[in-house]
Amino acid sequence: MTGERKPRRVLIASANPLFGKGLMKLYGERWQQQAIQSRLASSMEETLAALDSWQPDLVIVDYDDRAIHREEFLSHFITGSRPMQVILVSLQESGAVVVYDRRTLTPAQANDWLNLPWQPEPSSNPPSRRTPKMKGNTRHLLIAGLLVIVSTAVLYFLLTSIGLLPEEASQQAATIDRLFNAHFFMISLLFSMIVVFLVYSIVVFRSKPGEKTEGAYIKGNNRLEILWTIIPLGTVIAFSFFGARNLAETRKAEPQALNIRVVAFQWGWSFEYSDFGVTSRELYLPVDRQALLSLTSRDVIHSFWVPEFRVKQDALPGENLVKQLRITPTRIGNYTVMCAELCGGAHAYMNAPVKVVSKADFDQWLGTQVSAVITDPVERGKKWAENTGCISCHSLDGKKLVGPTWKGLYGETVTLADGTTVVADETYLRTAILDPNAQITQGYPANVMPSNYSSLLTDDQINDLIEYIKSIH
Amino acid sequence: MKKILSIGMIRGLLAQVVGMAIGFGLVTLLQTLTGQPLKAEPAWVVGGFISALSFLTGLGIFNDWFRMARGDEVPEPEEVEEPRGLRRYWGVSYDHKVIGVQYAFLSLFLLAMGGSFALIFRVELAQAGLQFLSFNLFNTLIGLHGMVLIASILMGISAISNYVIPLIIGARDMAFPRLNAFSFWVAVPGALLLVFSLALGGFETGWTGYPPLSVRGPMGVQMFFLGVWFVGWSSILGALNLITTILRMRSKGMGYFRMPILAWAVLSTSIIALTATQMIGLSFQLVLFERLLGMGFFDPAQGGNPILFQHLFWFYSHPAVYIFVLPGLGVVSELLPVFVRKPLFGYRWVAMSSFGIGLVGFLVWAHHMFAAGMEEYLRVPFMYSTLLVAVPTGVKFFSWTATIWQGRMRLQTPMLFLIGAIVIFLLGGITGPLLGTVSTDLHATDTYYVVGHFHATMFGGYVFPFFAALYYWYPKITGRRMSERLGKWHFWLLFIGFMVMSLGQMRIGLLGMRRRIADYDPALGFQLPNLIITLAGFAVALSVLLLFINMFRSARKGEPATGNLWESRSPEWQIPSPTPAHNFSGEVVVTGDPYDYGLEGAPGYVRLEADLTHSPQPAD
Amino acid sequence: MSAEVPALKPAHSYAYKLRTQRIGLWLFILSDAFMFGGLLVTRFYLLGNRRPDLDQFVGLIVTSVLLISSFFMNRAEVHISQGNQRGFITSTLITMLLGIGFLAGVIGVEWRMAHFGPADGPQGAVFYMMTGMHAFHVLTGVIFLAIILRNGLKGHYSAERHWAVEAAANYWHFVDVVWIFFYPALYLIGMAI
Repeated sequence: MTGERKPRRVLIASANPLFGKGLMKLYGERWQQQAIQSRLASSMEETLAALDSWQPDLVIVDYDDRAIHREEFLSHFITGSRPMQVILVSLQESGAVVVYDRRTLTPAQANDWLNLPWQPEPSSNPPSRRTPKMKGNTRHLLIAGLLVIVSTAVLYFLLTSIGLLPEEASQQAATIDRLFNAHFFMISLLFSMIVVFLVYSIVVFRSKPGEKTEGAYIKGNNRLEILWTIIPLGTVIAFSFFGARNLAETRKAEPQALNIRVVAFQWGWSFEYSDFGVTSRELYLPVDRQALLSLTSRDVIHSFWVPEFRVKQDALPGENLVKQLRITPTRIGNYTVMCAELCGGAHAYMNAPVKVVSKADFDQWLGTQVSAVITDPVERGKKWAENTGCISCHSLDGKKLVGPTWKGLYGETVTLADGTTVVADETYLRTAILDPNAQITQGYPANVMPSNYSSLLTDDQINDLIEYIKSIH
Repeated sequence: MKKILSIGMIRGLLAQVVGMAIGFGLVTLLQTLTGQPLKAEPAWVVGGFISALSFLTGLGIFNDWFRMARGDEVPEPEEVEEPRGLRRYWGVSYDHKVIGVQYAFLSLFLLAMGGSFALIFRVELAQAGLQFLSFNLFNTLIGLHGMVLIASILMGISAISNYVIPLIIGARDMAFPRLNAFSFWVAVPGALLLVFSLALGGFETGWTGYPPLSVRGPMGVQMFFLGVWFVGWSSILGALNLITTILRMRSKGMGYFRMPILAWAVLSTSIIALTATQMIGLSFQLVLFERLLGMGFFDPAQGGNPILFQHLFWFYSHPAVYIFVLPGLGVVSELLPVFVRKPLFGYRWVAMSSFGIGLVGFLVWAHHMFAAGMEEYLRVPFMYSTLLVAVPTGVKFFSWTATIWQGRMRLQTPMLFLIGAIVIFLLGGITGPLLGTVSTDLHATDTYYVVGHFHATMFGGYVFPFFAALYYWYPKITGRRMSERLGKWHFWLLFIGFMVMSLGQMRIGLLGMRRRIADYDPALGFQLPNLIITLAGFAVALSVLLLFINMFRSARKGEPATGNLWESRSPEWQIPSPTPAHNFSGEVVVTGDPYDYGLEGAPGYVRLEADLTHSPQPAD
Repeated sequence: MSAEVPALKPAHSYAYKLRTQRIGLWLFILSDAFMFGGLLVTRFYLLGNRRPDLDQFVGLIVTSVLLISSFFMNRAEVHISQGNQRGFITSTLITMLLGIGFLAGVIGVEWRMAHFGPADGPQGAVFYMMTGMHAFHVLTGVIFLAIILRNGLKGHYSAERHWAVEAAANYWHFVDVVWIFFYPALYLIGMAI
């Protein structure tokens, strides 16, 4: 039957029947009954006869020099040349056990054998279980290990230098790209580890065509298994931990985020700046200020994605399923938002321009948008007053709040803190907004009204505010 | 005429057409009689369902069961003597070897079909601009490419499992031979329904079928749902059979930790397939009924939630990818010892790793939904579980490496494909964690990076091992070996073509190319990469053509190989090739460990008891 | 080589085959259970701690009918395992009738009485799908029972060989167990909407 090998033949030479039978049983159990055939020999004649005719692979000699004689056995042993293992024990003497492992080698193999590092006297330590094959193994491992290190470095360098990611244009992108780099390293390391060993094996441990030699008989190594289970386990837990931190960083909320409602539909985008009543088909964003996008859809599932910003979020239909995404753009420029969830039909073309501009440009754009929506400057002025918070300190009905009321203010004669009077004309109003501490009204505190409205409001907005104030009689 | 009708497949096909007409007609009749407006969709759905059942009835697969129901005598499957020759492959056979070959042919047919769909849309994508495909046709083709290939993979793993498992555990057939035949044949009308979706307007959703899009889009999606449903039954019932076979029919002395490692792989695969598959059936069923009856499972306007679909769908579809790769990884573990002449390193650990992957695989599904809008508190836990899968997978890679190390490698064609499998599955595996950490996934999800990643896992975990298995067991099936020369050409063309394709896809994905888009902006700089990817795809296709040629030619002219040409210890190689009718003439008894290569004087793995019909056997 | 297949000792004995078939049946039931589990997940995901507004009295009746049918199913199995053909026939018949009664109660009465249809919101979708899928399984169970009833009348089953009865019984009990989960989910847990 092809493929079946001879079972291992074990001859036990022992005058002591108990010992012999016990050993047979033990050995048999260890190798499972079918693997071995055992025979017991209790006299010298039997032993020598078995040696010649039965040709065992292993002989266990329990010599007592009465029934089984050591010298006689050995002088018979050395006449043979078959591969055979012999182990000589004596129940009477408690000395060391002597083993002979006879093998026949080809000249080439003998050469290898000669080159093996010489073993010192066996000490009280158990004999080394490492066969010659395994000693050469250390050398192979070292070379392969070195190659792994080199390969990892090369791959990592490659991955991080060929530009695998679009430019970073948001704070979230910077955070996320750090994690990408960690992944690129792991990819380089893991790829190298396995492929180096694989290719090394293909080169070094290859069989020539027709060659019948077998590989090393190694079935496993529990310690190694535990090691290469625990280390990856620790690594993935660490990665998850840092991954969670990375995610949290991208989701940090800024209190003064710009609210924009993003409406996705088959097949376009609409952006609503709800605080200003502006709807646009282009997404304008002021640089360095967090935008809080509230995503929704009119029909099917879409997804909001600007590659340079990295983060992505699906937009779902349903008033109760509005999803949020926070983006803080850091780089002025023109980008594109693309739908990233197949939505049928013209999904491929469902794009919209994204323009990241300076704050001034953004305000100006917003202003023109609002003007387009609200044509009456008084109406617009009212909106600015509400949005900017003027009316929290200035009443419209004459009541005295933190600041002077706006009711009837325009055209009135105002007494200032230093006693002088001035007519509240447009120039007065403009100064009052832009440089309030220059002319504090009597009876009102100084240094309360913010003096930075010149950077918060555009000229047009200030004109609108003035028109609004003028309208409050 | 009678001769044609004696072929099961022909009867089935004719019956399917008739059944479709009957179902369609019935519904139309009902609609007319009850005064309802005539809507085509319910008619097609009912027609489609009945058409598949009709196919099976016409084929005759139900005959024995009908007879049993009527209380008549039915012969035992092992007593049925089937006629030899090619004919039996076109009808119902209860022989697991025939069924295995039938599965293999269906798998390769679907591979060619689904692959061709890809070639078509890859030609479209090679250049910016819409050249010849409409949006609808493009979307339908990518969806069909996905699902037809999934079906091909399921058929392929069934091919290997059905042919090989009974042989390597020393059995004469599977536990339920009739059910086995049914499991194969039910997939045929299912696959036909899938493709029929093209005729009913296609579908817009890709293979994932997300509502609300799948509720609103063209009605081809119903054929898609029905097709998947029937193919799903093939998977479930096949798994049931395999589990029972492995649990009950191992040879004497073959304890669980002495059975071939492939049996472990197939066992864990089958447990997943048996259970999780129901969920894709259910999720598609709910959309089907939302379309037909307006049942608002996934419509927010009616109080439904589209995210529910995604949970149900991915609860199957993630474990599904482990169904796809575990058998192939088992093939790698099984064949490596033969080709490096060395035991499988850490057999028990490798066996347990298949179960480990299967188990953890059930706990990760929502990593497909990190951007979907599900509850925030779900994202981090699923990230942990997702990365955890790397641990048992790592055990496999390290074990393979340790098996090969210090071996004596025989670089024949099957071994080439095993190496290719390891390298490419490695590529797939290590590019996964980037999608597993949420923040990086938010960039990479729904881009070509994902496409590159999963094709690498599929090619490495299924395609390469499947081809290795083909070259390896082809002599067992036919008694001839395939050409080594053509095999090497096949390998190198496939390997290089695939690496270019996958790496290219991953790169442009990260740079901003979304997936499932029929066209892209040339200004993004993706045109050249897309062209290269298309060419690489054609190289892959060409390599598969070489395989087909090799298979076909070798069947008649291949070098005869009737013995143990790989010098394997495995039971199937201790009997002649082609495999005899009932596999083993006597009882198979285990006498050693399966992978004791390199052990001087080791006993064989199994011993075959002498033929009991011919000589008296001494009592054991 | 002759067509004669050597009798391989225990491999093909009835007892061996029976154990194999049992495993097959339980695996099938396990698979089916996943589908019903998915329906339960759907119910809780969409409705949470609300439930459809259903008639409790009818619900209690159909549940009792089904539970009692399982009792008679068990009686049928016990009877046949003792060789009692008449007892087996009678009990099987009663089980069938009760099963049909359950179907009449759910499809005939409950579905008509419900003040919502399948397209009426999540409760409609969930209720009709759950009860519909369950009823389909009850129907297939009834068909299975009809088959064993007919074959039983022809004397096919004995105390030693009645696998079909055992299978039908286990399937029937499974469908009952599903209802033990579905009934509270639909009728008892949460507030009626």
